[in-house]
Amino acid sequence: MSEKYERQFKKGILDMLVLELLKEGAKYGYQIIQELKEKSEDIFLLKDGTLYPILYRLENEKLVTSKWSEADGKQVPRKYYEITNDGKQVLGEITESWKKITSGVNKIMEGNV
Amino acid sequence: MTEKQYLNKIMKKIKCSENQKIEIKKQLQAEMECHLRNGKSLESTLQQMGTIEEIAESYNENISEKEKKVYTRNKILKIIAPIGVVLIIVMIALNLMLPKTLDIEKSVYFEKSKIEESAKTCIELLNQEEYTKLQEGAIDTLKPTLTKEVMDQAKSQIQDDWGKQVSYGTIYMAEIKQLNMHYAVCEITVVYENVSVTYRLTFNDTMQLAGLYVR
Repeated sequence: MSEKYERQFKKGILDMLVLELLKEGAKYGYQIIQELKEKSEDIFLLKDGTLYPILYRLENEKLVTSKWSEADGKQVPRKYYEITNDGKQVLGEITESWKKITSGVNKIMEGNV
Repeated sequence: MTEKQYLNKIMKKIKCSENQKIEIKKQLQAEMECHLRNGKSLESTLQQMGTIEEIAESYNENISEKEKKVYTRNKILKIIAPIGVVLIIVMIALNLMLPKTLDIEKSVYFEKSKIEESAKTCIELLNQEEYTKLQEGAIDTLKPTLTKEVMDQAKSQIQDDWGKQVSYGTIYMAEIKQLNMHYAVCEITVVYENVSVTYRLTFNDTMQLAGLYVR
């Protein structure tokens, strides 16, 4: 049961986390997966098939742009994602909402947990 | 399952345009290649990617409603379009096959006087039982029926003894177009001593006898 809720919580905040990581600079998909894993200390273990659809939507919403890297010897071309100005603005708004929600949730939960 | 089969199965389940599918496939393929080149097995790569259903579902959740509508419309069009094309072909074929009657006065293929002359010549040859001459002026498929035996049988179905020809009655003519071929149809009533007979003679655009009907 808890897995289901955990999945839903994560799903709701993945856009924010991906945009946050991209704020640091252009990154390719697997790099984002690895950083999410490392920085969250294994809380966010994403499969490729979960991240790419999110990036696909963010790109459609013009919050990120993408660019294929040139094939370099044995290196397979990779698709690099970069946050746009609109993306940065939306990230700011989501972060604000997140802060409000966590603050509210904490106030409720601290009294009961 | 091979890498190709895996990707194709995902693509079949994603509801977006073909161009977008190509881009999605390219990206998933590139990512799989990376895993494989870094020494991961195919099994482990597929595990890292996720199941076909998971990936397709995840993409479909992230595809906008507008895009989904375009996908559905295109899918319907893909089903309807061939039916439409078949219907158009059938209509064109029917249009070509069904004979169309044209005004003989405006014909560029036939002259009324020549048709009348040819029709009367044919009737005279029939009266004189000159079947060889009649065959000479007929198309190949009609020749076997222009024999004494066949014609006597046809004549006897109307009346055994017609008597001699007395006069010609009214003549009707029309041009018929069928399968891009032009024909002149001439209906002429002939009064014999004992019976009135209506001939319907058809000529092709080289004025060969192409049809003969007697009643």
